[in-house]
Amino acid sequence: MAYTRKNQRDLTSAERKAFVNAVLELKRSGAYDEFVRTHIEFYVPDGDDGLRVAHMTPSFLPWHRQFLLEFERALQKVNSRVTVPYWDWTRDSSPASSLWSDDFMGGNGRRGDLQVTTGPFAYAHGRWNLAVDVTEARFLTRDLGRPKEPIALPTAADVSRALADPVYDTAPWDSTSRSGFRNRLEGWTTGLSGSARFRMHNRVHRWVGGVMLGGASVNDPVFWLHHAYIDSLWDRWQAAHPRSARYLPGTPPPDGDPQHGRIAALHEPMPPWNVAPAALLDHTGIYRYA
Amino acid sequence: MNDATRWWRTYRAARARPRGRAPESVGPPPRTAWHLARRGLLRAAFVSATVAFTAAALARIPGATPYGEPAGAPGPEPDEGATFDEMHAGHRIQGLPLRAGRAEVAVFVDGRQLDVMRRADGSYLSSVDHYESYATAREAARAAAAELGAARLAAVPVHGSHQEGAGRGVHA
Ligand SMILES: [Cu+2]
Repeated sequence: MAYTRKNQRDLTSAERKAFVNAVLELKRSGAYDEFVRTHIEFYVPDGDDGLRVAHMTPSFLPWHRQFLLEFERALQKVNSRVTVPYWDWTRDSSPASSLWSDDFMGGNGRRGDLQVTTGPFAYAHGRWNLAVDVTEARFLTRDLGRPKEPIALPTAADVSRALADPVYDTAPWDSTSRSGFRNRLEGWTTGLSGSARFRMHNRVHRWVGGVMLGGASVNDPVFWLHHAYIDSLWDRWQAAHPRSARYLPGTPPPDGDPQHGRIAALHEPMPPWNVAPAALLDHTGIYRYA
Repeated sequence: MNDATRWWRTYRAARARPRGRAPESVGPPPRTAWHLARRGLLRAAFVSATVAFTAAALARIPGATPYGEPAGAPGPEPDEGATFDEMHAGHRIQGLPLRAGRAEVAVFVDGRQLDVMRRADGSYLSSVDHYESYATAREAARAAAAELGAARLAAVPVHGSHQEGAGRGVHA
């Protein structure tokens, strides 16, 4: 039977606690840090040659879907009732949201070093130190809303605009794709300056700030809640466009195409799991969003 | 390990990101680092690692033929943005062009290497700041320095050595 991923705002306090405890257990066992490493390893930008499966690429959505599933399976080995909640940042768009409360994600970073000092992931509580990170700091950092130069989370209208695009993705299948649902949702822009550069998924990473802005963003557990919401938006897009190809490209770009060998087409397996996007288009047998 | 992953790792290992050496010996950053850099001071100091950014290297960068909007699109400007040595937001940032690899430039913050990557439009992003990009390596370095605040980069860059397994970006 399929299990349910809930909006984090609807979790009971027992569910919040169970999720947090399972995450802390993965951290203790070392499994969590492997997820941090995997995300770093597969972050290949489109200015690099070679295959990229996680970002700036059509498989941004299926790759993160599988990444979430792997994480969820690990959590469920700790506690079979736990699922990954999602953070609808169009509704819970303030640092005052219960998302950031002491019994869940913990609060903002303090001024100065941006260290998160409250909640279960506060360094001082001894259960959350960053073994794999971009900086020497071992504590979690956040800079919610970037007070120095305030930036807002994407709005419901922004989400609607992305969902309205009937095409899954378009050539050149990278961060410069100017239309297509995938890059509208991933949020890469070209030639813009200031806060306008940040859209959608990327903008949320910026809004949380600190560790979430860098290559080791998985170190902040809110990463999973953010990506679960992104994953749910892919569902909504499919439901809105039943006649559109659910994933593109359907076949690999031919020899001579600049993207030949660099992206995963529908039936091409994605490392590190050897799963093709085609296998991830329908998850309703595994989980559903409430 | 499955085939897709084995293939992927083999490929990545074959094209390791170029590692530079922090130019510690240059002394305090000159006030007009930029002009001095242009006169070759930095190049002389980095002589072992530095190769001038050539037109041929430029041609290999996807951004040299941007797919996107030409208006305001950040193009690679290696001379303007890749060689620098200055203080920014309390950190010393340095950059020097490299011959190989897509990043084409090695960037250091306080003597430690900052991973810099490129997008297809030629712009730069760093490991500190992974969800936006900048027209030049120098701007990416400045943004990273500002974002670092009081923190220091890890001694081993997180993207430093995927292919070497255990060592990558893990605190000692
Ligand atoms: Cu993300």
